[in-house]
Amino acid sequence: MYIKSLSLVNYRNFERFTYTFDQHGCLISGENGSGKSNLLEAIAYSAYGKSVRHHNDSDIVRFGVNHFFFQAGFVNHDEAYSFDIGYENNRKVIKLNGAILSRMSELYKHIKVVYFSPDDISLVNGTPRLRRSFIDTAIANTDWEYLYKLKEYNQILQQRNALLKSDFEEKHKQTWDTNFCTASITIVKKRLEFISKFEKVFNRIYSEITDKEEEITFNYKATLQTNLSQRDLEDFLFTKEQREKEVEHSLFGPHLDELIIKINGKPARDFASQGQKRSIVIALKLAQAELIRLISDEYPILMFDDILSELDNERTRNIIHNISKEHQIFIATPNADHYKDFDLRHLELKNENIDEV
Amino acid sequence: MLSPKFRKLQECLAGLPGIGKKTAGRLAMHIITQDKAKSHDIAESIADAVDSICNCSVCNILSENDPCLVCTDTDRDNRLLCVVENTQDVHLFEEIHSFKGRYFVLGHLLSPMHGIGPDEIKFGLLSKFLEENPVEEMILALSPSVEGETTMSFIAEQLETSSINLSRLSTGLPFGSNLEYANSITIANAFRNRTKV
Ligand SMILES: [Zn+2]
Repeated sequence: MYIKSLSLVNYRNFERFTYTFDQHGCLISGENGSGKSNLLEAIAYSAYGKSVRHHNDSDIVRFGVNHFFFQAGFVNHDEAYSFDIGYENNRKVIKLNGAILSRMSELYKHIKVVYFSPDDISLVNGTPRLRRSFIDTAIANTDWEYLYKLKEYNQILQQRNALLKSDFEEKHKQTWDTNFCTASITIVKKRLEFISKFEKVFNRIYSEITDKEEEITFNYKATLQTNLSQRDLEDFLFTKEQREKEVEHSLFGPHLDELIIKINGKPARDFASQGQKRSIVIALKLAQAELIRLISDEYPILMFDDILSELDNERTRNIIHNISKEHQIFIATPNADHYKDFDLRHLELKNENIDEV
Repeated sequence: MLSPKFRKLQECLAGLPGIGKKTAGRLAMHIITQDKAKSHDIAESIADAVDSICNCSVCNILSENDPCLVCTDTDRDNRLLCVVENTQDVHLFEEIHSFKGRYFVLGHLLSPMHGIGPDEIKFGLLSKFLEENPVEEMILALSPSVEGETTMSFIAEQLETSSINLSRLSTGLPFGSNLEYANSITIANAFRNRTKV
């Protein structure tokens, strides 16, 4: 799939911006602050319905105004999609082919983007929440209803937490526990299924990137043992009731589960070198893209936001050069010369102006 | 300067669900400036409704009579009971004429976040209803949201040992939707295709 056109109004530093892309994508260069990343962010916004850089909508609005608008045209398997998003005074409307979307998750069905950011290193170094959110996003890329299940789980969790704070009747808690267990099992099963598929694809890519024989494994540590029956799980929660009542919130469940990335059997966070970590991170994202291709037979759009250091690795660079022949690809970089051999149009951003080089 | 009485009216209106401060201001202005008789009519009908409508002590429907007109209607099929969230749902079902049994109104759905537990959904009154009116089939007609689903499971679990056939409206209703927004064809179909719990 590819993005064909993009118009922005008051999106970050762009007062007005319109451009028509080709299927290959483009190289976006410019000095720091020229808006390279903002342009990438705008394209990725349409796939996720929010900023991939975790910015609030109110921060995306160009300084001094209260609204932004953008329109993006995508082509997927010869079918065209248009996507509009309007934001004004904290209200947001998203339309797909002219129809208002009631659920953001619908976007996942149609538009697939994988975004490589310099912050990705936190997938190895950062908190478990980041890794959970990475798996959840990657699952939703090919199974958009998963987001829905996740939302349902979170609603049940919030209700259960409120219950634990209150002076509840045992039979009332029993009902929430039953729902909580069912929803947990669904989420964990989906994650485990995904991880086993992902691990294979990941290791193939990782060994292409590094020429060494390190083995990377993904260890999902569930706080609720999901190989137990529903009834056993409920019994387990019952035995923990006193403790959960004391702390007034759920101490178990997929929202607390951890994905441990191991290198030769040891946690990568503590035992991988800086270089190995960078390879892991780029392989994570490349594997995410590859799974989208394998499962949904679509080539997701790839975006590389200024990750020069990762691309210092000659092998990584070759892989990306190779896949750029099939995927639409965007690279934001201060140094365009570095990618001369990529068959990409080159845009240079200068003081909010755009020059085709 | 706005008169304090005007401001009081605006604040009262803004307390209604779905009405923001701006709309409340517009409504208040309209009430003040329109034909005075019309506005008095509104005021009186509010006071009248508030004073004379109460919950039926049998089925919890909001009604001017206690017991309500449904509970005292001898043409009703006493073997069937439909459990709904609120009296508006009763009106909705009555409009499409596909149900001839009795109703029980919970008033809420289980939601610990809002302090709603078994007492708030009148589970005690429902048990009493079932003791006094042994029904054969009970239809759980609650919205398929997390709270609606949980309330249905709760009731089903509590009645596990009883001989009542429990069914629920079939999911022609989209998950997370509100009965209020479903059209009558959807509701009628949901009734016809109700499934056993
Ligand atoms: Zn009644």
